[in-house]
Amino acid sequence: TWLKQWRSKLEANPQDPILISQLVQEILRCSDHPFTELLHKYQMQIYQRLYPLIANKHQEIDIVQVPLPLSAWPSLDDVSDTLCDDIQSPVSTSTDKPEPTSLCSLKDGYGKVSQQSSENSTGVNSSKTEHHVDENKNRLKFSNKKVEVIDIDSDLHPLFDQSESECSTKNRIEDNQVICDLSNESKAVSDVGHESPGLLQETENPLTSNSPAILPDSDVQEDLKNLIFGNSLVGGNIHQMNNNDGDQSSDDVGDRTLCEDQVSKVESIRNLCDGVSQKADNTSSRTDKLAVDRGNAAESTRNVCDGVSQKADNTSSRTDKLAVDRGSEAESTRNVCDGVSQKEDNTSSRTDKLAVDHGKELESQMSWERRQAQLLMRQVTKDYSSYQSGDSDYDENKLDYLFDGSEEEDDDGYGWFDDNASDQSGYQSGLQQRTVLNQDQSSSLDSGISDTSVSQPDRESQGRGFSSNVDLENKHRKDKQFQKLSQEAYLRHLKSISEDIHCYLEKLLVIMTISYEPLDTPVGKDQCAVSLEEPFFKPIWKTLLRLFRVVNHKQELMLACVMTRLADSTPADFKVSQKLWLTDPACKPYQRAITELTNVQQHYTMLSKLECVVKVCRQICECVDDYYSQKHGTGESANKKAPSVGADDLLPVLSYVVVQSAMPQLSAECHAMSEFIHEGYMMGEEGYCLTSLRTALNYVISLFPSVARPENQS
Amino acid sequence: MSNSRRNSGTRPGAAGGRIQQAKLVLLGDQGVGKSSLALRFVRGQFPEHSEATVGAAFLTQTILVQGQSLKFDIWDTAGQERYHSLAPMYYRGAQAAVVVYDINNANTFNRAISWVRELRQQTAVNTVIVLAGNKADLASEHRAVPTEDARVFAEETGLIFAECSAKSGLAVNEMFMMIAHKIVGKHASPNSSQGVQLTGGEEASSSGCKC
Repeated sequence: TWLKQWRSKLEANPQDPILISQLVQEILRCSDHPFTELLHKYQMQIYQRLYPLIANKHQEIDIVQVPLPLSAWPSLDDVSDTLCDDIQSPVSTSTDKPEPTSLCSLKDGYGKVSQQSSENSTGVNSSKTEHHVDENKNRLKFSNKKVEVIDIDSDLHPLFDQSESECSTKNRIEDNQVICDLSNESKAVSDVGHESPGLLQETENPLTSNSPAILPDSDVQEDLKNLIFGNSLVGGNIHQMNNNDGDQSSDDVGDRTLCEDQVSKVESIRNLCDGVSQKADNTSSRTDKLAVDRGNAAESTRNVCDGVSQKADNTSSRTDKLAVDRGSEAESTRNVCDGVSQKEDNTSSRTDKLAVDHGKELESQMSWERRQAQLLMRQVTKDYSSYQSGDSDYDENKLDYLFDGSEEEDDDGYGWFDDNASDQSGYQSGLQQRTVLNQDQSSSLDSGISDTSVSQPDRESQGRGFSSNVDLENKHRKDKQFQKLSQEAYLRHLKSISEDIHCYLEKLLVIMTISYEPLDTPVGKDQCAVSLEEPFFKPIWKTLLRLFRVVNHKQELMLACVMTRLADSTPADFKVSQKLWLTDPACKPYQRAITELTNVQQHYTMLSKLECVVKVCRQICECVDDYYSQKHGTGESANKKAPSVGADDLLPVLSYVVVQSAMPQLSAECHAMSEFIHEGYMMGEEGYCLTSLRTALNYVISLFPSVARPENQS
Repeated sequence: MSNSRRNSGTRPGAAGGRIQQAKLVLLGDQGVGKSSLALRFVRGQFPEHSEATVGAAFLTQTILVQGQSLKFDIWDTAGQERYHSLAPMYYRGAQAAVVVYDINNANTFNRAISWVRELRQQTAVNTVIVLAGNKADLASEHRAVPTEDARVFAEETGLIFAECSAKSGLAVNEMFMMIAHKIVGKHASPNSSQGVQLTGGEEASSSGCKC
């Protein structure tokens, strides 16, 4: 009935923006309104894709702060490619400094080296020299393989808090069945949460600063993260996971005694098969969701699904062949898990809980296996679609889409797998898969910068544990490639998720305009989009931003470096013309603009962030005006009028403000803003201010080589 | 909400309403007077139809051309080479680009030429590009770029060419009017401002503040 009232109100006054936003709020307040349910479903879908991607990245992200801890300082080598291929600009960059060119040549050298060594096995030498070149040329100080133990408590607690709260969000949103699953999940998470302080306290004391002691600790930490990661992945598959869980943990006891037995091989094959069938399940559940959206497409999609699950049967036979290669790799996974759990064993005497934990570890391992299986499926699907000419193009596209959607972070491994499949070279496969594994396992150690030096010993020991013929130098080189690949994979995920978000927002908007015809005007649609933005982004924003931060990690590191280094800078340092230095003994020049810029992170919606950015630019001009009017009052330079601030002056000041804001996440924020803000807004003042901010950011980042060098020399 | 201004308005460019919107970007070396040109145009005659929000870096001005309202969004850019990397973001989607150089400084002209080349490569064919030699008021004593040189270059590359002065206001309004005509799509009539009506109303017939 209240909806009818709204309808009549709307007809009387279809263009009233306040009315429209009130209507949207009213609808969303009603939690069982179909529109609200749809919104929540979309949010859930986005969230489910986001969370696994960022779940084990917290440490990497949290380390980026101003002042940047010395251990996190990136080397020029690490960021050279980011500096060189300027993604944002189609035109070749020309900077005032000579550094980029030398960097380019360095990078070219590296590229050649790695190419060479990937072609033949003499790569050991070349990668060694490459290493030397990097270290000597850049005079880096990262050879002292020492990591600062960052405050683990503060690092982990938010993690748990967040995941708990996120679970509760999920509970609210999800339908009954999944609520069941998720309550299990959140319980599990809270278990871990309860346990962790004990663990941490025990582990923290012995290992304050000596580096060998860090390793077990970070293992534990990594392990905990894995648990969460595993939990988060569960989603719709949790039932099946749980079913397997029992077997797994009993198997595991045997496994631990037998260690590198054939059993694990058999099991890995089974895991793979499970994974494949899970995948099929997963696919069909996703298809169902889609089918709701597109009723008429439902049947055809389901047909495809049937095809997929049939295919899954076929796959298992193929799997056998490949699984032999995988056997060793699965073994090694288990070894690592065992290692971790043994360490845990030492630290915590609660052996009864260990079994449960172990089961969860296996869960996470399972999910890893499942991802491998997904890769396999992809491969198979390619073959499949190549001879399945009977299917219409639409179906095939659909199929592709499904797989694109469900493939999580396995992209980084995909390239390798593809190669291997065509290679059919068993040994190589084993080796490379293992490297993937190592990458996976130590990814939380890899805080992106000092990673190679830090995790090297760790990996060495692992490598010895697995097999003696693993070439460490090759690994080092491959790590770099994997990092690059995983970076690219994250970028792809970001793109596809962004596309989905755009698509969902559009769908919601269309539904609104269909159900409330008076809204079907430019003004109405506009207002609708504006009012939908906040409820849509608010619950997922933090997670989404984290993905953006992972993608922008290197930029953020460089930004943080420059910000740390230039913390005491003045406008003069940015070549601001003298009339705009605004030297004032009372406070920093442009303090108001700086404060305003730090507010950007407190907003949830793109438009309010954008508004913030506009305010920053305006504040800069106001600061100038105020300064001159004050001076005018004191008669110091009574005849001077406030100069007008053109872009020639605005950008240096903005660069100064960016550095003073000490907010490295600005890079990610700007990226997100330009991704989700409607084209139309990019034309006007908002677009101008955002572009200016991004230009200033880019400039500040480009200062990195000049600030990094003196630091490393001294 | 914070975005109250937007709440009441249409999404710019999205609606094909009465007011046409045009993005105009100012390019050129540091200190050639890009923002002064814009300020002269915006503040010169009908300041009540303009909005200066971000200093002189972003300005808007609404004018009436051939019965059609045209709102210029004027984007000033930083001339310093070190901010060049994101310049494409500034001129992307611009209907018009004014490349400014200082008549009294040959270096700025060379820089303008490279800007024009870049624009030709990176922007749509129908982008209106204007080559504007600023500081004509000082040219009698300090001229470094002969008018002919610039005119020949402009004709070869198909640009609108104007020598103007932001300080005195010489030819500034005419230049923007030519751009407006071209954008509105009817026959552009260079060197004349007949048929041009500024939205000011009363004094609409007088064109520019020549000196």
